[in-house]
Amino acid sequence: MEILEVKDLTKMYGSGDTQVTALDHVSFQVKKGEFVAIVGASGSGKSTLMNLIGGIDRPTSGDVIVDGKEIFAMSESALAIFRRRNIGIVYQFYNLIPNLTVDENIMLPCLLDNRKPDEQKLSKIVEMTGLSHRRDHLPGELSGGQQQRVSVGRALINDPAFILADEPTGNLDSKAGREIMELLLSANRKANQTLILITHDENIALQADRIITISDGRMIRDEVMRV
Amino acid sequence: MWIRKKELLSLSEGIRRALDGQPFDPRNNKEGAFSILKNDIYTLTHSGQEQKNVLAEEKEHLAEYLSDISHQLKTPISSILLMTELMADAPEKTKQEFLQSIKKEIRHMEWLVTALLKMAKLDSSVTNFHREEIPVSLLLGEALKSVEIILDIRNQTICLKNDLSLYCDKKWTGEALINLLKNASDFSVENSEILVDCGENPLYHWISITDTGEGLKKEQIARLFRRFESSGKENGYGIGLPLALSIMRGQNGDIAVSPGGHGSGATFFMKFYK
Repeated sequence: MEILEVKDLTKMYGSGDTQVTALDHVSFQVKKGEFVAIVGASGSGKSTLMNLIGGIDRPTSGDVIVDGKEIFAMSESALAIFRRRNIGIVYQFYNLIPNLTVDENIMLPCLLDNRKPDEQKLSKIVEMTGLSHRRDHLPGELSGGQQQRVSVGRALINDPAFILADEPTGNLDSKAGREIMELLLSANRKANQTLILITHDENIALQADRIITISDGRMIRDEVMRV
Repeated sequence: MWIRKKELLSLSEGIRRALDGQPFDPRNNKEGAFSILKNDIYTLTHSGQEQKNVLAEEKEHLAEYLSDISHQLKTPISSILLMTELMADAPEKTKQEFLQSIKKEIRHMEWLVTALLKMAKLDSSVTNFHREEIPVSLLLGEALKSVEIILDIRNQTICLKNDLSLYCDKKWTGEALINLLKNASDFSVENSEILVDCGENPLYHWISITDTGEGLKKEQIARLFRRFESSGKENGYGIGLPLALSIMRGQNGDIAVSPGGHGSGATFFMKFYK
């Protein structure tokens, strides 16, 4: 069973003459441990695709099946909880809670479930982000690259079915961007963490095992880079 | 929190069904400790299913390797058959040429079968990696023995910029290194120096190999690690790099490529995760 199945996904906006098809019957599957890059130009539909896979938006038709569960068959509240427990999202603009420390931001998905994560696991993840000496700092005291590393830590804490990263290096300089890619790659290879990364940057996409290309709402290519 | 006895019993029954191999998904995505417990139970009962998936995938991979081997052997075998037939009526000089070609094809087949079997073994997790602390200089020294001749013919040298000890399987890592050095030699110009460097960062130790070629284009990078895709150079046979990648991934590592270009060659990084 694949960890993610996207089935005939379609998203249309508007109606009649002004109807826009953002996503047109896109289907693909992702296996556990795969690193897939989804590439496309601005306006290609890749962000729409990401929002649908993450359960943040609902499709006009089609299904997204995560770890065997049809996510759009759930209610909004159930989906929010499912997402918290099963999907790790890394955004382009970090989206950390400004008045929580590094530790607390990473732990957030667990705290929302009213439980504390395993201390060892938390330490391991903090160490991976390279911020062991700044655990009690607030996001405002960190650089962009450091904040993004906290985001990645937050995405990993719950051992999600997959990590969804939307242009994770888009807001970073090249050095910080490289560090984030190394962090994500390391989680992918060491913990067999499935990684789905949306990007318009070819050089980043070339680091993936598989590249899916979206153009005008359609999947025009699905290329395996490393077998 | 008040949980009805009926719910607990139904959960028990579900777990029993899961142990029997039947599908069971108790998750209901509500707030609260009971729902979290159901999530955890799902994860636990599913780990068995995951193992089955892994085994099924391995079977699929082995089938693929068998098909690859037979497909790849067809070409050299037909070549050899053709040449032996033509040899019968050929003049002495041509006979000698044919004999050389036949020898070459047989060596090709031998290399292919060995490499494919290695990859199949690696992918099927039958291989045990015996890791030990070993300095890069030692790994390189051993690997050089297998590429000395090619380097000599092309008048290429290897320069090791730095040395450190890393934790890996000496034999397999050496094999990966040999393939990367061969690749670097193929892509480098004659009379040049191939640069080997090493270092570490918080996530991994690394060995890098930089060739003196023109760098890699996007289309070339895509083909690098796919089995049997031509790298454009005849000596490739298309399996060295995929094999090196399998070796590194099998021992908690990876291979990354920096394409170079604009006057500098490509750099391949062997990463050894900590």
